[in-house]
Amino acid sequence: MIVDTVDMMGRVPVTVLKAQGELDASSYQELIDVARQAYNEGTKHMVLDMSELTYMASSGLIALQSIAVMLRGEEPPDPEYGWSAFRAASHDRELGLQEHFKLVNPQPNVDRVLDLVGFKHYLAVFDDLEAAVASF
Amino acid sequence: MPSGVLEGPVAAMGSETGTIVLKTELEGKDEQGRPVLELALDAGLDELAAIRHQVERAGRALGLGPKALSDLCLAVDEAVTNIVEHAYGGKGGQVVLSLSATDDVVKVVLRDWGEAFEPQAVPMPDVDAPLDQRQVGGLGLFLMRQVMDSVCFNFDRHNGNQLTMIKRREGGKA
Repeated sequence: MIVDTVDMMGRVPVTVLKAQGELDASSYQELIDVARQAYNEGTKHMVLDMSELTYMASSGLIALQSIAVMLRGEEPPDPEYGWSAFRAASHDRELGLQEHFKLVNPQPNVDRVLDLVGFKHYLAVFDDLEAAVASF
Repeated sequence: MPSGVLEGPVAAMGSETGTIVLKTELEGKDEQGRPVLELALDAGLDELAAIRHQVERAGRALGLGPKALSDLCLAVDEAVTNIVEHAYGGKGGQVVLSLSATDDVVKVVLRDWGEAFEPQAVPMPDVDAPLDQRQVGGLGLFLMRQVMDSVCFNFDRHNGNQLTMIKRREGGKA
């Protein structure tokens, strides 16, 4: 998987993460790392362009969750400690759609994974990159 | 080396990364003349993409459609990831994969010799829970159960863990 970043300007600055290739347990940490670097450099709003992401496993969902938590200003659990780290991260706040992290144009097999786990209730999905950037 | 009644060519497969210690592919025919695929490999996370591509190629040869191929690859990927991460503690280890089909179903069997896996010990994720209240740890198993019609684990002290997953073919074009 290759992840490129592009800075765009809507009503606010937005960093677009463009993922190409296959997102699985061998590569999801790379996506988190790229997002973290952008976040550490001041990004507060991110879009993940999934139009050239040809595959996503459950580990990709962990990356999406980690990025969403990071952009809320919270520290995501370290995935190196295993999936169980995420159980420890659970708390009681009610959350709706994430305000700082949105998805664009997932391919059918990736979209299906998002649907199967109900992630689209919490991460807005756009068909168009410009619309996603303008939505912040 | 996987057991089973296999005929046809036996090809030793190389590795682009050089990390696969053993990767032997046997493609042949079952008793009814249908193609079968068996892979014996030292699985690690770096091999996931190669395994998916092998399964996709074999599934296509079995006549599976795009959706069934996608589901099959996802289920195998999640299963192998679990084996590497949990059965072998992240270090990887030997996995034997067998893929076969009849007119009605496609069946994949994965065997490993790592720690026994107890699916009952993995809590099913609450997919309706808010994002950060989810127990992501069960998502891989959850996805396997969502995309396959049957997911069955067996642990044998001598013969290792065996995971059998079955997907029904819809009108022969699943």
